[in-house]
Parts: sequence; C-alpha cells; structure tokens
Amino acid sequence: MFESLQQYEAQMWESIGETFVMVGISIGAAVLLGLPLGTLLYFTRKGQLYENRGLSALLNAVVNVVRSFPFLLLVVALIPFTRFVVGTAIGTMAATVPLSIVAIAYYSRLVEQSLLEVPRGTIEAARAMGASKIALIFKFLYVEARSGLVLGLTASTISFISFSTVMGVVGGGGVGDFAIRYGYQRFETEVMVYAIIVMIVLVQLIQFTGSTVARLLDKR
Amino acid sequence: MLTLHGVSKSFALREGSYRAVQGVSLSVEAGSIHGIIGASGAGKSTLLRLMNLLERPDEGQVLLEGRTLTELPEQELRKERQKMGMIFQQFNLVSNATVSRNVAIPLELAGYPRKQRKERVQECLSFVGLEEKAGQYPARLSGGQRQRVAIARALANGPKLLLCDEPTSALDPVTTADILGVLQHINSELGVTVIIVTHEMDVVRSICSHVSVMEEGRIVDSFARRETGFLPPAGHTGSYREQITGRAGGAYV
Ligand SMILES: Nc1ncnc2c1ncn2[C@@H]1O[C@H](COP(=O)(O)OP(=O)(O)OP(=O)(O)O)[C@@H](O)[C@H]1O
Ligand SMILES: [Mg+2]
Repeated sequence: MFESLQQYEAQMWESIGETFVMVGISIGAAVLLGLPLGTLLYFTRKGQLYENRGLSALLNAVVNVVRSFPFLLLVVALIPFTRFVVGTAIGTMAATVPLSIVAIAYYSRLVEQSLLEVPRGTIEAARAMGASKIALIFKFLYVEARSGLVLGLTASTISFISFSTVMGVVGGGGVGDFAIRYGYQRFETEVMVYAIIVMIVLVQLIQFTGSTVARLLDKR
Repeated sequence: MLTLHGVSKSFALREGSYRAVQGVSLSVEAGSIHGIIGASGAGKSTLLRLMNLLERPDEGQVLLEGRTLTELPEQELRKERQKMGMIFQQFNLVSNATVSRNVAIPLELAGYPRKQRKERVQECLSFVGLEEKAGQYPARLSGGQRQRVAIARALANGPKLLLCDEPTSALDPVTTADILGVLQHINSELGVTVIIVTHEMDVVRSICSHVSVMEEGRIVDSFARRETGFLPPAGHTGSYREQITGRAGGAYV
C-alpha cells in the first residue's frame, strides 16, 4: 500500500499546495470583497439604516444567481472573464477566479446574517454617540458580530475546499483532482483513500480552529 | 437648553401612516431634571429620539442652546450628538468590549487626545463607582452595574445634556433608587441637564424638577416642582398629575 503512496508523494504535496492556493485566495476574496458586500446587503435591507430597495434587490439578485448556478457551469461560463483577469483560463490561478466569485457571494450572505443578529439597541447607541458610518461598522457592528463572522468564514472555507475539488476540469489541480486522476482513474484505491483522508483532516482542523476562535471571541 | 417647536413624526404603516408625535413644543430648562411620563405607546421614546435627531421630524424644529439641529448637515449633527449623552432601558453596551473599552469608544469618536483617554475613562468609571470593573465584560455585570457603565459612557465627552429612555425600567426597586441617585448626582455635581422618559410615577416623584405628560403623541400637561412640591391639578380626573401628587384640588401637597 505504501509503495503506491510513495510513488505519488511529490504529486500529492503539489496538489495539497494547489488546494491551499485556491482556497487561500478565495478566503482572501471573501474577506476583502464578501465582507463589504455582506455589509451592504445588511444596510440596504428593508428597515435598516440605509434602506435602499433598488440596490438591495440588485445585490440580492446577483448573490442569488451566483449561489444557485451549478458550480461547474459557472466555471465554464466565466472562462472569458477568467481569461481577461489572469490571462489564461487554464491552471491553478485561473481556477481561483470562479472560486473567488462564489466565495464572495457565499460569504456575503453569511455576513449579512451575522450582522442581523446585532441588537438594534447597539446601533441606536452608536448613532446617539455621533458615530460615523465607518465607526459604526468597525467599532460596533463588526465587534458585536465577530464570532458569527468567524464561524461564517469557517463554513465558507469548508465549502470552498469542496468546490475546489472539481477544478481539475480547468487544470486547477488540487487534492480532489489528485484523488480522481491518480486514485480513481489509475485504480490506485489507496491513493484515493489517502487523498480523501487528507481532505477530511483538513476540514476537521479548519472547523475546530474556527469554532475555537469564535468561542474565544464571544463575550456576550 | 433644548427647545422643540411644533415637532411631529409619523411612521409609515401598511395602511396609511401613524402619527407618533403630533406638534409638540417643549422647552427644557438648563440644569433641570425633566421627566416625560405617559402610557405605553404615547410616543415618549419617539419624542426623545427626536431630540438628538435619531429620528428626523417631519415638521418642526429642534434647538440645542440656540443652534437649530434640524438644519444641520449629518456631519455637524454628529458633533452635536457627542455633546449629548443617551442611556437606554436595555443599556445597549457593546458586549464584546470591556467596561473600559465601552467608555473609551465615545472618546475615540470625538477625537479626544489619545494620551488622556485612559485617565478620562478612569475618571468616568470612578464617578459611577465602577473602577474595579474596568477589565470586565458587560455579561459579567448586574443590570445596575451595566446601567452605570452606560452612564459612564454617556458622560465621557462631558455632555451638557443627558437623554434617558426608561433607564430604570429593567431594574429592581433598590437598584432603581441607586441609578436615580447617580442621575441626580450628575445633575447637581456636573450641572448636566437630564431628560428622563418613564412610565413610573416614582421616578418623577423622586428626582424630576419638571414634568411633561404625554398622551397619544401630544404633551397634555406640564408642571414644575415648587418649594412645596408639585402643584396638584384643580379637578379630580385621575390624571397623571393627580397620581404623582397624590391629590386633586389645586393645593400643594
Ligand atoms: N420605527 C417605527 N415604525 C413604526 N411605528 C413606530 C416606530 N417607532 C415607534 N412607532 C410607533 O409609535 C408609537 C409610539 O412609540 P414610542 O416607542 O415612542 O412609545 P413609548 O411612549 O415610548 O412607549 P413605551 O412606554 O412602550 O416605550 C407606537 O405606537 C409605536 O408602535
Ligand atoms: Mg419607549
């Protein structure tokens, strides 16, 4: 059994690296763009501080379309855009584009949900203190919602790992692709099992870390 | 100190709109403790929120020391709000921030000199008697202690006016007396004008120098404490004034 593993060890490590790149960049996109988008979704909702029906409907439509698109079809549909952004539609970097777009849409929705849990009274107090929009967001909203934001990012990360497994179709590589190409297609069952175990351990670790951090941050 | 001129506020409902505050004019004297009392739904909280423009009036003006708040752009209005403290029934502290951090936030918002913040936080906490709780999170405090933190937070920027929305309604009678004592202390020691919305007669009796009675969005009665107490109403109608003074007939208690 270990023979076959040794034979593919280099490829295994390479694929783990690819998964980290794809998921890491998606997390970056989720935080840098999904967090502001989720905040905007929250603020423009009916009854919220910057209620805006038109913008709210537009943002919701975009987020829902991205989230409801079958992922493989989204990857294909985005090929021209991917080529425009990274210069090629093939490879690990190319694979990060559709992944990041899904990541932004996914996380923004979870951000919106977390922010909705912040008591209205907290926002009222912030406004009564003369807080600016930026101060309201960073000194009140994100502080009160921080454990939810971390849990949301944890759940999203795990979804991105799952999405990243199919990126083999555009040559993105990653552990999932490794399992299929070396394990499934070459009938090396041990290799496939090994790759799956790696994925499981990875997901467990992420969930454990996320839950722990969220718990430590929560003083409510 | 604070003046309202014909202030009204309606809320859009599914069928038509609801007039929560209707043409209220009111003048709050500097240095007073002004109670606003009325039944649930009378519009007391809305009226209080109109005073610092958390709610924009549909008509009428709000003046703070001669400045017309209703004409100010948002940014200047924020500056004015920093001169008014506000406390709430549910305290509304930032629960993921320590007690001292809660008090420091308004200082940061107002651009209080960084080096003096710590000292100012200490000062405010010792005013409400909570120095030793500085490092705790609000969840570990009792209701009365939380309201004290909220008061310290409201005082941080040295406001001239303190707006209180049912500040004791979530507290037991002993703690209520405690918090009312703190509010009275703020008024007498720091010269802060206090406006206090309540539905509790005892709150008015124990600390208010002026009272306005609200009913269905209007102020229906206003009276001040004299040396001899509040002037009872002329007739026996079961009014708030009668209940507060404990009698009718127009003679002092
Ligand atoms: N944002 C809002 N949207 C719609 N209606 C509102 C809103 N705020 C207040 N109202 C309505 O306005 C009326 C007055 O509300 P307000 O909270 O000012 O009353 P209150 O005197 O403070 O009552 P309570 O003692 O229960 O706090 C109520 O009928 C309430 O339902
Ligand atoms: Mg109220």
